[in-house]
This record gives sequence, C-alpha cells and structure tokens, in this order.
Amino acid sequence: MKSRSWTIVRYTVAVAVLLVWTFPLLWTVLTSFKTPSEVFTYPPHFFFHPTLENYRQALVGYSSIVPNLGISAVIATSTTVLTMLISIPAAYALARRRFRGRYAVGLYVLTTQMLPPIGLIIPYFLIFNRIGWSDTYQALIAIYLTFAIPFAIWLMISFFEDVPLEMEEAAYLDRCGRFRTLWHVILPQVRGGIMVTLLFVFMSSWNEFLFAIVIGGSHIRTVTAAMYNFISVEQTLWGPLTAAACITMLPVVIVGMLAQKHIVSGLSLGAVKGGGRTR
Amino acid sequence: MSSSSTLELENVCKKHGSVQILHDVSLRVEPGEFFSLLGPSGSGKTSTLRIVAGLETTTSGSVRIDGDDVTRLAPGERDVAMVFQSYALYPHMTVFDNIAFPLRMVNTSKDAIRRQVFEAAERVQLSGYLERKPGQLSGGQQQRVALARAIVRHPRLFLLDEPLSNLDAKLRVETRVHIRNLQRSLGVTTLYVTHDQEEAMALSDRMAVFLDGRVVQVGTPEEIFERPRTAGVAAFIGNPPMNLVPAKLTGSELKLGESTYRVSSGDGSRERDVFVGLRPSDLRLDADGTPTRVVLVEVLGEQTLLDVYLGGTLCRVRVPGKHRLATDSTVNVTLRPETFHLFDAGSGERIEQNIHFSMA
Repeated sequence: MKSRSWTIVRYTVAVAVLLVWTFPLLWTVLTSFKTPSEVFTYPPHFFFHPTLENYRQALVGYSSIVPNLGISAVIATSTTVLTMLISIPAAYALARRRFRGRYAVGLYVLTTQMLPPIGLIIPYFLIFNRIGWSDTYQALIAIYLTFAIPFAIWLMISFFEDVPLEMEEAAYLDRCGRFRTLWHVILPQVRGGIMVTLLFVFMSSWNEFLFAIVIGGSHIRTVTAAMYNFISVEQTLWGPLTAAACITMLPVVIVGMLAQKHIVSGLSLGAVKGGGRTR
Repeated sequence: MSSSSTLELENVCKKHGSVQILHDVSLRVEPGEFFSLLGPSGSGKTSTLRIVAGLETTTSGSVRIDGDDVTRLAPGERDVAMVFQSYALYPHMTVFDNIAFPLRMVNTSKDAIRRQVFEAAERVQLSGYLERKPGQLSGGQQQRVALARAIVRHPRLFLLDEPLSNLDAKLRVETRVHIRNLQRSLGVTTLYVTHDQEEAMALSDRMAVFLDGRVVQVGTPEEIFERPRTAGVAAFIGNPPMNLVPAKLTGSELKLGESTYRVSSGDGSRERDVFVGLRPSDLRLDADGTPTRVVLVEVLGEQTLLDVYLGGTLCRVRVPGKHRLATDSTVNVTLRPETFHLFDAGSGERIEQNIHFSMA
C-alpha cells in the first residue's frame, strides 16, 4: 500500500513539474490560434473557436516570415555543415594524437564555452562594420562558428576516445589509410554522437537571437529577429507573433523527434564502453 | 600456399622518454616457424610485436622481412596481419564484411572476395555466421573472426598478441590446438605474444624469453625448460617455477645450507655466491632426506604442492598424489644433485658443472 501511495505522490509531482515546464509553450501554441480579442480575454479561455488567421498573417501577410525562414535555414545549415567539417577531424585529432600544445588547445576549447556572448557583441559589431560585413550572411555564420566549433569539438572528443585504438590499428595493418579509417571504421561507431552534436549545433544557431538582432540588419534578418517585427511601439501582435514562434519551433521539433533514437544512443555512448586511450 | 617469410630483428631499441623499453633485441624467425615471445607483463614482448607490425617505431635497430628493411614502413606497407588481444573487430560490420575488409582495401574483385572470405570462414568454422554482427557472437567465435580476417589475404607474417587471454580455460586449450593446426596448414611464419608459458610451450617451434626489455634466451621449449640460461629465466619458467636457493661454490665444493656437495670440475679455489635451481618436481619426499617443516600444503588433485624451507629459503615441492599433511608437520626432503641447476649470484648466468653427491 505504501509503495502505491508513493507512486501516486511521485506522479503528481512529475505532472506538476511538467505543467510548470510546458506552460509557456502551451500558452504560445494556444495564443497562436486565438483572435486578437480572445488573446486579451481575462481570465483566458482554454476552449475557444480557433482561427488560422495568425498563421496566414505570419506566412503570407505584410511582414511574412517566409523569407526570414529561408535566411535562417541558410545560416543554420552553413554553420552546421562547416562546424562538422572542421570539428570532426579536430576532435578526432585531439582524442588520438599526442602533440605539443594539445593541452592548451583543449583548455582554449573549454574556456570559449564559458565566455558570456554579450561581452563580445560590441567588438564584433565594430569589426564587422569596419570590414563591411555588417548585415551579411558571413558575419552571422562566422560568429556562430566561433561558438559552435569549440562546443562540437569538446562534445565529440569523448565519443572518439571511446573507440578502441586497436580497431584503428587493425585497419592500418589492412592498408586502410588514416582518412579511410576515419570514414569506414571510426565514424560509423560514433554516428550517434555526431548526430547529437549536429543537432545541438543546428538548434543553437537556428534559435540564436542576440547576435542575429545586433549584427544582422534589415537585409539579413533571421526568423528569430523577424519575429520582433510583430512588436512595435504602439502594440504587440500577439497572435501572429506566437504563430511565427510555433512555425519556427517546428523544424527543430521534427528534426529532434527524428533524431531521438540517435540522441539516446549518443548520450549513453560514453557510459557503455570504456577502453579508449590515446597514443 | 605462399612461400614462407623470414623475420629478422637486429639490435632493436625502444625508448619512451627516459624509459628504455627494449634493449638490443635481436631475433631471427625462420620461414614457417611458430615463434613465441614469452615474458611477464611489461617485459617488452608486446612492444616488440608492435614494432614488427609497424604500429610503433624503433629508437634504433632494424626490422627485416625476407631481407627487406621494413623499419620505416607504415603498417599497411609491410604485408603483415595481426590478431589483437581485444580482437578489434569492426562492430558495425557483419562477419563477412569484417573478413572482407582487408581484401576490399586492395581492390579485389567481388567474386574473388566472396571466394576468399568463404574459404577463410571455412577454415575457422564460421561459415554459418557470415551475416551476423560481432556483437551477436560468443567470445570464441569473435576470436575466430579475428583469425579469419588475418589469414584471408595471405600475409607474409602472422602476428598474434595474446589472442587467447580473453577466453575461458577450456576454450583456450581447444583454440590453442586450432591455431596450431591453422598455422601449420598455412605454413605462415608466425610471431605469437603470450605471458602464459604453458601456451608458449604447447604452440611454439621456438620461443624467446623476455625479461625487463631484453631477450634473455631463445630456444625450443624443451631447451628453455631444461636448461634455463639465467636465474631470471629459471624463476619464470615452470609451474611453479624453479626454486632458487643461495649457496657457496668453491673449487671443489658446493655448500647449500647444512649440506655439502662435491663438484667434479672447479675453476680454482675462489669462493663465490651462487643460486642453486631446484625444480619443484625434482625434489622428493624420502625417509632419508633432510627433515624440514611444512609451511603450506596445497592439494591439487593429482599432485600436491608443499612449501618448505630448504637452506633457509622458502621452496616449493611438487609431489605426485594427494598428501594431506598438516601445516607445521615435518617432512624429509631429498635434494638430488644430478638435477641441480647452478647460476652465478652476481650475473645470474648459468654455470655448467658436474656435481656429485658426497656425504659431507
């Protein structure tokens, strides 16, 4: 009996925490289907006549976010692809090779993660103005790379360390070169970890707002910055704003659900097997 | 069957920072020979194997296969195959793909790959498992996949690094026989690293005993067992190994504890310290022997191990049959001088002597 009441308590607490956790999301989703008058009704109705007008406005209205979705997609995809191209070999090298300065590189990678981004905004702004990169794709991609690459390297080192060195040596003995070994032997085994990293990198650049609003401009405006269009001095268009937010969330949620299997296996990768060593 | 290769190591040294791992290792392995590198862990046997494979570099010295200097060649350029202690199978590939991997790396045609993989799998009795992943196989089967992957491309040298150490005792003995037969039928020159002397004895044509980064003795298993070249080898070979009892050797006499033995051919009258090597199985329990106290008794079914003090040193005696003796009881142990091995206490080198028993 005791264990049963304990179960009830546990579930109650879990549901309560979950409700608090998901409330902002719930509010956003509900608001996106409300008419302007419904939005301001107090107390709010949980049941109301839903409308798609907000979505119409966000997608094909005066300040449609569709071009901005495209811009965000270009920036997030470029950031992710470049980050993976650079970080995979870098993480592999840091995991496997002993060389001078290995420790310093590791420390640098970690400390960049501790820097508060806000401290860098003004220097970045000045530098990009000077070299004529303000309001360009490359400016935002460059900034995102400076955060994403160290993060990705740091995350992936441990995945590579978990692959036994002997497996690589076996491949070398069988005339498999270093890059082919990485491709055919190592990468298939850290696939889960790479998926996790890729997803985190994509998400963080897709969701980024601070640099997007300061460094981006009227021309290169990511979708997170574009949502700001619905907030003006006179009023905030809550309906279209929340509809835009839901649309923006969608790709990340879909990709996350598709990659869930890999994420779980990726996160538990380090826990299952040891045996990684460096030379 | 390809013609077999020779392997030569000449004055191979290996340093890791200030630590010298290998001291002047020189070996010659004859074509088709099954050659073991035997030694305790940290003695340099695995480093030697890895140097032959090209996975580690030498500090000085050279490695030659069939007379070609391969010291500076990359692992893949040496045409050697290796079975790792952990097997190092590729977990994301099927057994077929694991075995086919070395062939694919040298652009073999699809038909040839199929034929050779089937042949190799047949040899290690894995034909029914080709579609499985390594994770779905038992330890013994995984080990055979590793063997098949090594033999499939007919390498010049076959290198095995403690391939049996992850198997249970029964399987180890079975696989040992299998490896020996496989090596014989392929005729491939084989270098085999193990710390298990029984394994080395059972498998090897010849073997090298490694101690502290040096090759101390090279010979057939019988030679090494019967005539260990140093006290170090004597203390390592045999299960349990030889007892080494300090004694004094003069021109004509050997003084061991209370007993004195006559030496037939001395080298002058100078007294020197020696170790007398007494193999546990050469000691006898005998009513005429020296009385000594039993410290420990281990009854191992067909034989019994006794720990006793001889000449002030704790020694092991191996006697056939079961002897349920009480600790602290007294037994009479006979030392038979014709079975003595003598080693110089300073250098550890073996001293060849004819020793005759004399009533002192």
